[in-house]
Amino acid sequence: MEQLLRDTFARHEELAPPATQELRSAIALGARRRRIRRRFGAASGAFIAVLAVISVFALTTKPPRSADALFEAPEKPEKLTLLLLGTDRRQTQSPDEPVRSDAIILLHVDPAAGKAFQISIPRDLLVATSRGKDKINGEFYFGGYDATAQVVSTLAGLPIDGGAVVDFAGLQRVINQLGGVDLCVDQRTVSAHLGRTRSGEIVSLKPGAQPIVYEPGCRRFQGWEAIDYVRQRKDVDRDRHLRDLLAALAHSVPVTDPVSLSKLLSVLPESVDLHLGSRSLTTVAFQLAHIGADGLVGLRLPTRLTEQGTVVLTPDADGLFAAMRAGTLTEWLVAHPAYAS
Amino acid sequence: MTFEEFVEVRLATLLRYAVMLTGDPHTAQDLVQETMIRAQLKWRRVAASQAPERYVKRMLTNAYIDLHRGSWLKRVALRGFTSSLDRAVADHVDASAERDQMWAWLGTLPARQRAALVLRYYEGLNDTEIADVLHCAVGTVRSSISRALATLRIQIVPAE
Repeated sequence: MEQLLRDTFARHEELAPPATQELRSAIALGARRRRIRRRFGAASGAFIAVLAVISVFALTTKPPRSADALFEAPEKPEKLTLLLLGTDRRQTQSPDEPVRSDAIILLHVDPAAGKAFQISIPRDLLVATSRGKDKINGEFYFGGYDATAQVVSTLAGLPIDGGAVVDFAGLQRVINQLGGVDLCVDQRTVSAHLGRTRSGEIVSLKPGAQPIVYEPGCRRFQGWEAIDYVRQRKDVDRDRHLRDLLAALAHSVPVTDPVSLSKLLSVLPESVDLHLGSRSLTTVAFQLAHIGADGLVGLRLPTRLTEQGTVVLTPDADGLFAAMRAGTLTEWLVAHPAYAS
Repeated sequence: MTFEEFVEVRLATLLRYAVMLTGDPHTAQDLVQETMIRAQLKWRRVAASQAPERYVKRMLTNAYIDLHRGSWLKRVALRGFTSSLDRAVADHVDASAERDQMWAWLGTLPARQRAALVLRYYEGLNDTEIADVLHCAVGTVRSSISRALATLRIQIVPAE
């Protein structure tokens, strides 16, 4: 038996693929690509989602008074559920490489309550898909925005009115276009991704470079700083950083300056992939305009980690979604303060 | 040793090892490519270890076992689609069944058991070394091997 095995293995050595130059190049290229991704892409998409929001908020913030009459805006703004997807797509990536949604955020706007609820959905959440049980972030890879919206809609028992897909580079472009963004750091945050060399150059963190540190206090952040800051996960509340950036961006939109605004609007289409269905941007804008950036409330989805290492919803999630459908999310949150984030 | 030197000396060996594990040249090449990319990214740590080859072999073996364990991410990253790996294995079993029955039976073993067989009968490692590569106890190595051999014997007996 043992000799038989040895012979079998030996006989199949010829099956081994040759160590070609192509393979060596593929390895070198793959490593180079992934180094770039580490620097930028791992960055992830949450921020991105921010961008999305921004874009919506931006356009939203306040349509000019005089133009109001032109928009067929509903008398009473209705509730609106938006899905924001941040993807890990990088600009250097070839089109056939897989793209997953890295940040999945449900934005539920309740004009009656004057609030917008930001619910982060864990990307490892196990959901029922057309292919059986799978992680939710895989859905984007297989079916894009529409499939993801379908899954989330089923999960929440609520139609998704629209949404946006944003990538990391897009968000940075928008911040740069705005000339930076004013952020307040509440807690000393050390970057795990970027560092400064002795000559002052900003590089992805490596030995010999001092990590970038964001000290508490308020100041203007450049695009790359803002992105790096909200990327940090260690010992910090990333959801809140994200929300801060979002709110800051909503404030920074130059609604009163038509020239800046039109410049911003011109970078949006290439930075954000909007899915608004039958709604016009102005309708969505009108509805969001009623919510100030201060009305943005963060919610944690009630989930737990199973022994198999997957993430599933807990029974409390049913209550959350029911409250969302009934428009009583504020009351629910008061009764379940543990889920505020 | 630089990474380039390592590739020069070891790439062919690793490809042979991978084909013994996967039974299929395409999957073997993907697996080696993926492992070598990762090895290059953390080359400093690999080179600092006592035996870079053992380190990379361990990475490769883990990647192979993970592949069968069915992590979504890795399946997609390596093969593009969920089911293509399973299909590749099945195809392979069919195609080579007549040519080499034993090779086909090997394809039906659980990943860890097959890895243990390859390490012992192809690589010629002893149980302690195998345990090191598979990152498990020596006893686990022995039970994996004996279980794998038992499975194969059951297959063989009816044929005789």
